[in-house]
Amino acid sequence: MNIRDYNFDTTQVTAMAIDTFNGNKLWIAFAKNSDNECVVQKVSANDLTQVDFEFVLPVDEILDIDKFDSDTIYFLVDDATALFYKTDPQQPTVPAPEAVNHTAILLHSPILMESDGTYTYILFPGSDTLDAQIVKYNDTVYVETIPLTGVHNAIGMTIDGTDIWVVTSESPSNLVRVYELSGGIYTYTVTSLSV
Amino acid sequence: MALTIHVNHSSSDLPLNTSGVDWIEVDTDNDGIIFSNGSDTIADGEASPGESALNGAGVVLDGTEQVFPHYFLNDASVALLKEIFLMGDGNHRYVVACEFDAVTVSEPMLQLWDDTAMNTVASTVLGGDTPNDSWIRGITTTDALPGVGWTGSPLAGSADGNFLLLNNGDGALTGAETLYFQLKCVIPATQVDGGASVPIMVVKWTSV
Repeated sequence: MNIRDYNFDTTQVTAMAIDTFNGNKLWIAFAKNSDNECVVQKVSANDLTQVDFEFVLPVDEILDIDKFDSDTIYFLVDDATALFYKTDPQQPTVPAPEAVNHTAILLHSPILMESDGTYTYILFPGSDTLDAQIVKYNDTVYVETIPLTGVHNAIGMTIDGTDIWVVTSESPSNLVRVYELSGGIYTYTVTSLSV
Repeated sequence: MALTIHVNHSSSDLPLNTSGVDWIEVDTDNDGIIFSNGSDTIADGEASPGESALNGAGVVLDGTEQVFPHYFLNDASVALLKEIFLMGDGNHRYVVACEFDAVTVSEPMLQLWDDTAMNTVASTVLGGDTPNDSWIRGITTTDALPGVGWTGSPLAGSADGNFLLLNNGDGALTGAETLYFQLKCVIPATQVDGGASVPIMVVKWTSV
């Protein structure tokens, strides 16, 4: 195994994602620069210094990157207006990335986005006092919000093809299984992960 | 082992040795590549130009970022310009071909320098000692098209990020292989002074 270090000491990396369409590529999102923009690069996964594309998003931070399919990539952002950006991973700058805005007044920022092949789910983690919630999109179209009442301080989310799983940083942590009963009606169960 | 470099003198984005596609072998000792705005005399099939004709076909600075629209091989064997029609910011893959006839020990890379001493990058087009500001951007296209609106790496010197790994970072060649790359020259919006630069391109590798 060959391990190489890449030093981004002048600019912090906030999110990354692999892209295997047309070769092994890597998407890297950098922290906000002095122009109040976040630089995004698509680079060779074999050598991160080989740049294919570079563009900027005018946001406070790029929180997560979700490579949906060969034609679509999403960038979850921390911004007062935009919730996420969508673009074509094969030609991300032509046309420019499309902003998808929040549908409600923000109480806190999202942290993660995951896709199940059809829908995209965005996790708002909650806090000690705020409940977590999941916001569901069909591409750029808002579908619904799934409130997770009583679930606080979520830190992780994954989808197994059927259910959405959320884990919290409480003590003890809780594992939350979120699943659809029918017709877009969701429920959830909470399991304490005490050992 | 040997390397021969070819440029695609056609508008067909097809690999080296494709029937009907005019790939020209570059004489690396005598030929040159000219970046130009083009003119009646700086055009495909015209005679190799002098300095005055080249200056007359320069890109006029206008305070905006501009990409050179024309790229020519100055073919010394026939003293003619041969336009490299696909070179530039277009989404084209088969533009410059590096044909290796055997294995290599290291991955071939493309570097740009001021001259054959290969130790300075002071030319304006090479960023004036700031390689990340180089006007010349390159992208390896050995495995795939570069993509519409490609950015590429600024080429100047040998620092990480300022040269091209021609095998797309996949390492040394395990046999005879042809590697491809695309180039463009981007004048920054901040450029205010005219001028001319004559940097050199070098393909480096190690062999057994």
